[in-house]
Amino acid sequence: MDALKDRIALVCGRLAGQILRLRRKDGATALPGLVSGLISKNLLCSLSQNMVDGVVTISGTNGKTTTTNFLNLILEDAGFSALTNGAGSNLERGLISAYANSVNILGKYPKTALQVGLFEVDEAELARTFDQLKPRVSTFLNLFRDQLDRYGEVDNLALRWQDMIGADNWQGTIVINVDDPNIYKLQECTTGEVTTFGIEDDNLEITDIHNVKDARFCGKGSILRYDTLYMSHLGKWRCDCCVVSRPKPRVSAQNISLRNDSSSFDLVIDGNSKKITIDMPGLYVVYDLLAAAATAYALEIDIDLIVSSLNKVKAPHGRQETFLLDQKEIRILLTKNPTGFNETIKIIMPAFESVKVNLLAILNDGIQDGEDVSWIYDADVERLRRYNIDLVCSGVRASDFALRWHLAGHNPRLVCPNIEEALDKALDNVSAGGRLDVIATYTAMLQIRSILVNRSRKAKHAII
Amino acid sequence: MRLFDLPLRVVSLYPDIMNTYSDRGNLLALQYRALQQGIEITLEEISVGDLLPAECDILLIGGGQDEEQKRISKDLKAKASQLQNWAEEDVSILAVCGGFQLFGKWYRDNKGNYLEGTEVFDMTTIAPRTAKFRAVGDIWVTSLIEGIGDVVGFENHAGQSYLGPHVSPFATVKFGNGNNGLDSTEGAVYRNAIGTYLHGSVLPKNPMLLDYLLSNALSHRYNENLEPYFSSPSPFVLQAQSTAMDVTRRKSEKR
Repeated sequence: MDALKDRIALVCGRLAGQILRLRRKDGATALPGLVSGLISKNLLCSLSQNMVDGVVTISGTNGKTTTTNFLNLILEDAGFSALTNGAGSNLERGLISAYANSVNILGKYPKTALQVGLFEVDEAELARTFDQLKPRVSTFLNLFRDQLDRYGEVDNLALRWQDMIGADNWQGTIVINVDDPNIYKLQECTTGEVTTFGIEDDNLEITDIHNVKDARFCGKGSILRYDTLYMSHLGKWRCDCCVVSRPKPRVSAQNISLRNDSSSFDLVIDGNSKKITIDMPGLYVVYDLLAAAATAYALEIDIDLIVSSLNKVKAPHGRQETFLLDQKEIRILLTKNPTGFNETIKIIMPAFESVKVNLLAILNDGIQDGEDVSWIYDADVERLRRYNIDLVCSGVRASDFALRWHLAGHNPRLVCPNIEEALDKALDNVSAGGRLDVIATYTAMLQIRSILVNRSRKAKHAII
Repeated sequence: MRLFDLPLRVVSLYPDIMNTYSDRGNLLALQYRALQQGIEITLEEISVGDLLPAECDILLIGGGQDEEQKRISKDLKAKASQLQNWAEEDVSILAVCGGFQLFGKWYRDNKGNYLEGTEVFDMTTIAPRTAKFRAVGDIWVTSLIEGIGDVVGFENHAGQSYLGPHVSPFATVKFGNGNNGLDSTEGAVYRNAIGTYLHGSVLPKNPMLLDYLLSNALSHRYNENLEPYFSSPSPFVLQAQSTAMDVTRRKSEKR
């Protein structure tokens, strides 16, 4: 009977999605899941059982969507058919929506060979759904301070993850970023397989050791030391009191070269070294590529195939996505916590102080953005003090952002909560061939993106 | 422009540890305002194992997670008598959230561990064992200190604080939880020491509180009240404060 109930639930969800899509072009990433979830509480189990080759979860503060997209590309190339929740819809309802949207009219999921479920899962939601999802491989990216108002504290989350993977009835593989001491600790809790990844590059120039550090102590309360610090608290750490240090990862990035609009490095997997070059800047993208490669490797996918897939990746939406309108380039940089903000600052910082930066900075305070906007004070905006910035601030908390930039020596030309209006005003000062960088929190990113998608569509029609 | 001859001595206590909720913004705002008023500042960052300087005009401490509070509590206890002396000498003090809790007599975490505080404030704090309750959200309070008026920020704490007879509340709660969600009090005041649960960061967008701390520090340094010389705060400050008020009111009406 339960199976029948599940199918009815899925059909209802599917229908709800279809109705919603009649009215809106995009979306239906939450409603089907909500509807189905009302009828059956058992759907994640049923979902998990339908994935013949298992479920893969990707979780962590930063990089979930990008990593999931990279991995999806590899899986496709490897001949897998992946059910996935795109677009950052990473709560239980998002997973069930993906499931409901793909059942047939009888509520049955079309079982195929080489079927995997690939899901990015919100950090807190992972602990709640882990039991039902029973992932074959669970990948852990990092834990930064993000939305403390929603998650409680970083330490609590780390403890919940430890309990979760230490459960007797779970024997899956974990893929972990050993550069993050909190994530490294997970391997002590599992009896299953462990695949480690991290950066191996002592020459990587670290220009700043900023104030963002979320894992400063070992379990006994001693301060961790760093031989190399790559980003925030990620690096080659060691703890003198526990006599533990970060181990050499099985999957690593070496000889990293970061440029303003691209990155390249050697991907080294168990001693095999291959070159990766992509047209996305930023060290965190290197981490996302590494995580995708390590997870694919844990899924026993061929190394050459992993490399050839990763060499052709593109930015997923809202994560450094660029639009071209009226000969002006608009680049969206999703920024939602201090670590991400510091990385964004490095990306927008031009080579010379005299080069003008056009910037639209949008701060929202919805649940998905983090209702507490304090985090803007923890990023080192002061690094941009001497640069020439044409700044427009927008979003629900436009004036909080304006004050932050003001304290860092940049008075915005305009403070305008309405995003569309702010975009136009920001574009006014961009010359043809120039670029506007947009810093946006999560819901702000969705809003600005939808405006830009619409405008691009109209522009295309006009040309035809 | 140098309006004042002597630099203000600012001590930032455990900035490397007690900064979970970005209270670093308080120091940024203080530095900015001081520069604007022609006040020179010397900053000393003091962490575990460091000695406090002999003199101080303003002391700042921020919030941290339970683990971080545990980490500093022993060191803080060693510094307690000097901190008490500073409070008695009318040093300007701002203690936020976790720092505020540890400036009380003691804090009991949700596992039943006791952490001793500096006892600058006659106050005790308990994080209930079975806490489903966590005070999280935008908060708007009205200060009981004359001239400060309304103060806005964001609170995020499991601990519930109760004030004793030798300390007064900093403010009454308009929207939000405050000290314990029961008696409408927020924060604590003893002489020129202020404790509060407000992040935001609190000083950048609450100019009256910032100027109050700054003018008390100047009085401590010069023995006279110099606040009338202050220029009015920048429009960005006032706009951020009024937006925060709008948001807080709107969100609390929705709840």
